[in-house]
Amino acid sequence: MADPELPERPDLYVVARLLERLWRENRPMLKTRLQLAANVNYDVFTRYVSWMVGKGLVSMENSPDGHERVAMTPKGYEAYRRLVQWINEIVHNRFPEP
Amino acid sequence: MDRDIRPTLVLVVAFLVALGFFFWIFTAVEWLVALGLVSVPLALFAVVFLWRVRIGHVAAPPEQVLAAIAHGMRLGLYRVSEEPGELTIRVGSMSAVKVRARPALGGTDLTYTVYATPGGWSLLMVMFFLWELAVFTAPVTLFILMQVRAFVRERVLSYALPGGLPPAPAPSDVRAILIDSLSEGYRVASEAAEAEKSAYHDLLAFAFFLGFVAWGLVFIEALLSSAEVDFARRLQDSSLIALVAGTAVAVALGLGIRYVLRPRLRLLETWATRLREALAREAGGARPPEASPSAFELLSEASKEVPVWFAALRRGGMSREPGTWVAIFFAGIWGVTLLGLAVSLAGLVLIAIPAGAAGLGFLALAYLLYRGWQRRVEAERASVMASWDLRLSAIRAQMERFLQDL
Repeated sequence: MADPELPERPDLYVVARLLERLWRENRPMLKTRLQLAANVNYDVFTRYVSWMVGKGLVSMENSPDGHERVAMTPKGYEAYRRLVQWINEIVHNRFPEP
Repeated sequence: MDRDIRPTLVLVVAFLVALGFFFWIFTAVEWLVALGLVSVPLALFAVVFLWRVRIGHVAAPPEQVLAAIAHGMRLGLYRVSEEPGELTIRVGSMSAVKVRARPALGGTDLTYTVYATPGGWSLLMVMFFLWELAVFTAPVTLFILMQVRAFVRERVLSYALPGGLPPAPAPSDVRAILIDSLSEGYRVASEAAEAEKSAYHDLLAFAFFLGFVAWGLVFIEALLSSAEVDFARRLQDSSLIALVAGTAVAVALGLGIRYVLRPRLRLLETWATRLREALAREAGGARPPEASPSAFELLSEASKEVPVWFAALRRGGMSREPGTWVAIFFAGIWGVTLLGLAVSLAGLVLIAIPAGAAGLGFLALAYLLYRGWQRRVEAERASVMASWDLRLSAIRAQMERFLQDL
């Protein structure tokens, strides 16, 4: 992957969308499929995936078919769980302490 | 016999019996006896809604039992609200059930009581309030009872059977958290939509009432100021003018109310539908359509609307704050009645003037009560909205910081 400019302040929705797609798939996803499923353009996708790899949320896997796949790491799962848990508290009108 | 149609059959048969009783009571019985007879449905109501029925014993702590039942109900797309030690599950448009869990030797005792939705309570309340119709509460009460009993037998009883309690979802189970969030969002949004609809219909009824008041006032004015010598002709002309004026007032107010409230109602209904569809997908294990917003995004967007939903629930219309609205209703009715009395006794100035003044006073009281209620609701709404936005911004910043600090 090229050396794209990383997002300084990542958009919560984009990160959550990528993590959610990977969580639903429950296995590594082809980059192009993940990009389409997350509904972001290639540039944004590349920057976010690089950022997420750097943070250890996802990892890149080379398949025998020569295609690169994106996999969710346990840290990525935990990060997604925390985001979902936060939203759950908000919907229940139980705001967590800062 | 198909179990699903039993409550409806009971409703129809009980309604026909109630209809027979209704005519018998009000045609062949002294009114004092009639009053005594309508207390029978009240007794039935009390027994059905206060009786606590045992479901069974479960060998697990109450919190675990309630969490498992709540999760199971949410998977079945039922609306569940949780309070300490109990769940309220909406069974139908009128019926609900309260499932209670109390610690008992080595586990939990599960019981239930028949409950009603706000719509169900309103219907029963109105029929008891107009006491002549109280006899018709019996079919409704029996219908709710049958529906709740069938629901408990089919959906809840299995939890109390040996080995029937599924494990409560683990705190780390993302799918369970999403189902919980979507279900709660759907519950609050749909209840808010119902409350808004109730407020909308209440206001339309109020517009009709004001049209009636306008009709009365214009009729009086036209009758008194007419120079026509023929009294029958005077009555006819005044009625026609009053009818046009009353209709114009009712229609104009009705259109205004529709213009203001319809968009709000449609927005709430759209949110309820979106959340229900997402919940159904999540509960069914289906994948969302490609390139659609994630459940996280949907919930994030929904969370911005939550204070509006809570405000709609609080506002809720006359069926949700019956005390104030009964007072408004009575003040309005007395106002119109006394004004009518003043007109009919126009020749007796000593009676007509105080009666007219009292009538106007009652109408003013009805208006002041209404304005006070409306201001209170709007102030609450503004306060919730302001603090909610602040808290939501804080939590969003916290989430973004969490991602950056990873």
